[in-house]
Amino acid sequence: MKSQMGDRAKFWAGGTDMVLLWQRGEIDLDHCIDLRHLGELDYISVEDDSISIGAMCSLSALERSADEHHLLATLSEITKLMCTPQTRTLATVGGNMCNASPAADLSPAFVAMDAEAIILGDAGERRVSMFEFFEGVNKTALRGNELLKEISIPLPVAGNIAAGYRRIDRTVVDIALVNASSALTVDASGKITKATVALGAVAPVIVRSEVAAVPLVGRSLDALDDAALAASGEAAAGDAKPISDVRASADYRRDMVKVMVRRSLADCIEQLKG
Amino acid sequence: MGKMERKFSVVGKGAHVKDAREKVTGSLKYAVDMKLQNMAYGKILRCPHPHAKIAKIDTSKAEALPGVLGVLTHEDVPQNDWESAWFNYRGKVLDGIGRFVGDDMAAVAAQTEQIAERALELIEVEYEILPHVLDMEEARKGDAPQIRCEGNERDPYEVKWGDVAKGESEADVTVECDISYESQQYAPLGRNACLAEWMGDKVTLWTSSQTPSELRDGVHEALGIPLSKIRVMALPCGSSFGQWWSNNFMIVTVLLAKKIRQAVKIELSNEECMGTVKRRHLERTRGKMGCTRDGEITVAEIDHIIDNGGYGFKDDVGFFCVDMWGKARNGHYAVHAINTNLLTAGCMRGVGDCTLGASVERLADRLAEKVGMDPVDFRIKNQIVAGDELRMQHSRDNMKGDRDAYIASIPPHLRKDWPELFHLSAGGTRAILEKGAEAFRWKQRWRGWATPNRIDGPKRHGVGVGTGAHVCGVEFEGSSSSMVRINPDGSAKVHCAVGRQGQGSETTQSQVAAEELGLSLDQIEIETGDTDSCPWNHGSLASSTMYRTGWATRAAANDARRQLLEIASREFFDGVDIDELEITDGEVHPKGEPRSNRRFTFAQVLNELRSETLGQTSSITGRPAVPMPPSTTFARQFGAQFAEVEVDIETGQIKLLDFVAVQDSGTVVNPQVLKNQVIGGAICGAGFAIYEHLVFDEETGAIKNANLLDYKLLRCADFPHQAQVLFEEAPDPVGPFGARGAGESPIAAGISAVAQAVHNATGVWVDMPMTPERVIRALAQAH
Amino acid sequence: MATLKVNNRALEVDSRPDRTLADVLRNDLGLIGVRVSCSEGECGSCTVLVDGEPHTSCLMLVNQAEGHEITTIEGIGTTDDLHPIQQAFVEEQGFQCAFCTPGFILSAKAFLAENPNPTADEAAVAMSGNICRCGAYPYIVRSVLNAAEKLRNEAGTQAAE
Repeated sequence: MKSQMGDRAKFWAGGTDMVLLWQRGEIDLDHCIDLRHLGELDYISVEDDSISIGAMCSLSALERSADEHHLLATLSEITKLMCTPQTRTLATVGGNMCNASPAADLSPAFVAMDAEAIILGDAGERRVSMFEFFEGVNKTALRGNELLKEISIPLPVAGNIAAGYRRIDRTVVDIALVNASSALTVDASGKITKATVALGAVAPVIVRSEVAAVPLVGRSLDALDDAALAASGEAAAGDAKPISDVRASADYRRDMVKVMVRRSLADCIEQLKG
Repeated sequence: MGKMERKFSVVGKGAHVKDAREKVTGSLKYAVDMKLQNMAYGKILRCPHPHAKIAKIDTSKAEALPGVLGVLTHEDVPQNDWESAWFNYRGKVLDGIGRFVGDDMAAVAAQTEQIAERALELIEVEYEILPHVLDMEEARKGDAPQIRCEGNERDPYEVKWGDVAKGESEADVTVECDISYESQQYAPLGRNACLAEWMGDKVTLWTSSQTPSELRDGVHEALGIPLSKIRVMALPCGSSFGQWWSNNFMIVTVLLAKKIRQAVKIELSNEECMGTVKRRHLERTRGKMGCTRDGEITVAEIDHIIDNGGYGFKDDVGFFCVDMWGKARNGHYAVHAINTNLLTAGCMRGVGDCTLGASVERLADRLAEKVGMDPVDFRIKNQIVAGDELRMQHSRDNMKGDRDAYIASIPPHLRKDWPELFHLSAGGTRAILEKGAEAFRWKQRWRGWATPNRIDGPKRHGVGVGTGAHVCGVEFEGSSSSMVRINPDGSAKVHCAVGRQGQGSETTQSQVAAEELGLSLDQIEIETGDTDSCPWNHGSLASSTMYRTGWATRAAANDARRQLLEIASREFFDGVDIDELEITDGEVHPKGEPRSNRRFTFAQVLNELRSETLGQTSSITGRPAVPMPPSTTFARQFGAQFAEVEVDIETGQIKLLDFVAVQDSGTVVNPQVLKNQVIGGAICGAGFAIYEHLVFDEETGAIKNANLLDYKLLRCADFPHQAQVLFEEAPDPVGPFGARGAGESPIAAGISAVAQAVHNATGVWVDMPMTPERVIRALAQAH
Repeated sequence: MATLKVNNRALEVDSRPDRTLADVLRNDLGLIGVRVSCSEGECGSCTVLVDGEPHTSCLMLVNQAEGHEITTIEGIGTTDDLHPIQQAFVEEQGFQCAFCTPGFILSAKAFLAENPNPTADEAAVAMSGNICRCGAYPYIVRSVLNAAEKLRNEAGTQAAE
């Protein structure tokens, strides 16, 4: 169907962003393809090596999955920050990703967790890292009639992973003015084998700060002091390219990256130390 | 003032509000819910420029669109100025000039809203762009583009007493300030609509309004038709705070309906409600205050400017803070109001109190800090008490005479029982500050100026106190009246044109009438919206409903009671003096004998009259016999609030942790209604203190956040649910059963409490709203 | 035409795709208790229950609701026979202008179905998907706690029977 309609066609998942676009006259309902009957894409499953979240999984279902895995518990906490309870029942994880808002709460967490998008097309499935999935404001790696099927989060075979998320917001229901997520993987000895720091609302896409990992990787969890976390935050701020808008100034956003990265890392450490 | 001796049977009781069941079942109708047979839908064409004149307008394409019923342009509109209450709007309905982005330029009526919207796009307008000015300081300059024929700035509103130079020389300590305020938006929950229908040369309009009579006046002024041909049927409002009085879109609807000879409804979108009606002023205070070493204020010198946007005409904001801090030995306050090419600004709840008042509170706090005094003590020392002279001299200027001449002009028989004019008649802040300090455990929780009472990593806790005052209605625009009718079956109905924006007027006015008539609350019905059945009333604004309308309702009920007792005396009690009779639970009986066998229901009294003396009246209509005293010259309401906040000094985010709000509104007629009013004020004030503000485009002045995503309103978990509301009930000598006004002092008190708490947590003063970013900036500047 | 199940009745509605559920409920079915204010999912005034779960009906197209049980404020109680949650809001006066109240009550109904014995903090968070501009929040929290108690007592009475 999408291939018949071409570029004008839009997929409609939960529709919470799409209704807003339609009200503003930016999309045409005659060219929307309803995905809500795709019940087979509404799932969350935890395997030994990965967590799979179906694109049609609602935000409220993700919110309720906290007990199934500690990374899902992190995602559940993030979900609670998103829109309102009565919109989370409608909105889907896939829809939220495909809307590709740079301020979306789940996006930096998926990037920090090194998640992949599983994309369904005429030629079958392909995988793209969530970092590469976002190509711009409301722009994704989906081409032609491709469809986002699943977000797949890899789990370390040995050792452990933890993720943290922080954002600056105003009232308890808000869009992030700026946000950051980090994930730390440790081996059995407690040495950090991998660190990923992702930033939102500081560029048209989610920023993955490679330099922010430098003060962290290779060190033992116990050796990570405040200075190391602060160094990571400082480094991350250097990768941020924020703008000033109605919500916050560029300077404030850049400054807050430092604080949020530091705090999200502290959250990871706390989780890993249990 | 001693305790009221009289015991009440309806007043002071926590009755459920009369419309509670309709409210919780969703069946209460607001204007958006109204429909008429064969009703058309209207939409307004809005100005895309900050200042522009229509050079040419071609509506032919729009009119040719199937489904379009007509287009209204300025060429169809009588070029009369109309005024909203308190000069919140002055201008023509449409005059071909746009004075801000979003201004009303023309309107379309069509079979559906969608067609009307499409038709708007087909109206071809050629605009002559006029020079514009957005900044109020720029607009004051001689060469600034002129927005109105009256000029951008008129004479300032001033209050002076004592000798400022002397006050400065007496001061041991002085502080100065330059504080700017962003513009708060009413941000109504619940849109508004207006539905107008003409029958011959008479028009009826249904809309949600706090001021039904003022709206009728506005239609009269704009169209030049007699008041008797205009009927306003005002419906309850969603949250209003002064937004829905008489608004230009309502009169556009009236004219559009006239043009197409069919009923029309215009429903504003949320963006239109937030971006085209009105807002709180942008304001700036430059001031100086000084005190002696022991904390006695010797001088207060304030120069305050407000921007009125395109059509606002108000210049007298916020002088109630001047009264409250009126113990200052010498003072000079001036307010300058300036028009700009921004959205019209008007009276939002606590107008001036939230801004000028907050500036005065901050100056006083900084003095208290310098002399090392507790802010509660400093307030008690410098704020007025009953009997003190009021500094606000508005009545004198308004009456164009000096104070003594004004008093002398009032017939002595009218004023013989009045309180002393230009002096505070009752209440004050001392009792509420003391009560609040105790409930909040202020002495234990306050650790001194700029000293957090708890430090938890980057999180600093601070406590603060603030006070607010306001009038209890005003008399200048007319004396509010009320009517009480007793029907032949003994049922009674109050007719008073007030607003129902959730403040419980339908209930509290009924309570007043029930108390006076000796009826239970459910024996009273009330009509608040129909200007054909209600006498003129200023409406629910300036905190007047309980005080001024309540006074009128009580007087009307008293008049109806007198008439009823006169009939009862004549027909059943051998002509005894009516003072020998009483009414209990709807029955007339000899005084002190409610169980007497000689007791008669209202219906018996009225039916006796009907059956035996044909031609006599069969129902009773009560009304006030004399005007209410000019209460602006003596009545004030007061609020004192205590807050604890947590400030994250790394991110600037503020959390509200605790609130105690104490209110002095005289006798409390309905405790739960008043608690809701007070806490609602605290929340609206706290929201203004930390988030709420409109963002204007720097080039055009267009509002960039006319939506609830980026205009941040506090939510349930943003405000401490354990917040307490307490009352001090210093009875008023004039108000109904000792009650005074209530709605506006609570919003002002909360703002200053939060601002001071943030200062005590962080050591810095932050201008409102104290957004995370502004807190961080202030902290950075301090280091 | 399509059939919508609203408040336990099957009703025929126009289901052109360009209609939101809120629009159809208000304007075609006359269910004015479905309030529309912000139209962008922020204020929660238009909250309805779909199969018992709260949904912002201004962000839903009418055909998304086909085949589901829709409950509006009109479906849970009447002025003569209030639902316990409505009764609790009356008693605690958990409103002022009440434009937002139907949405709060329906949010509370869904919340209490999941959490019958909430703390005040939990209730405050759960009620944050709706905005009360008048600021009745502390009394809304009390209304929810009062309602929870009423519903527990009701359930207890039923169990005892």
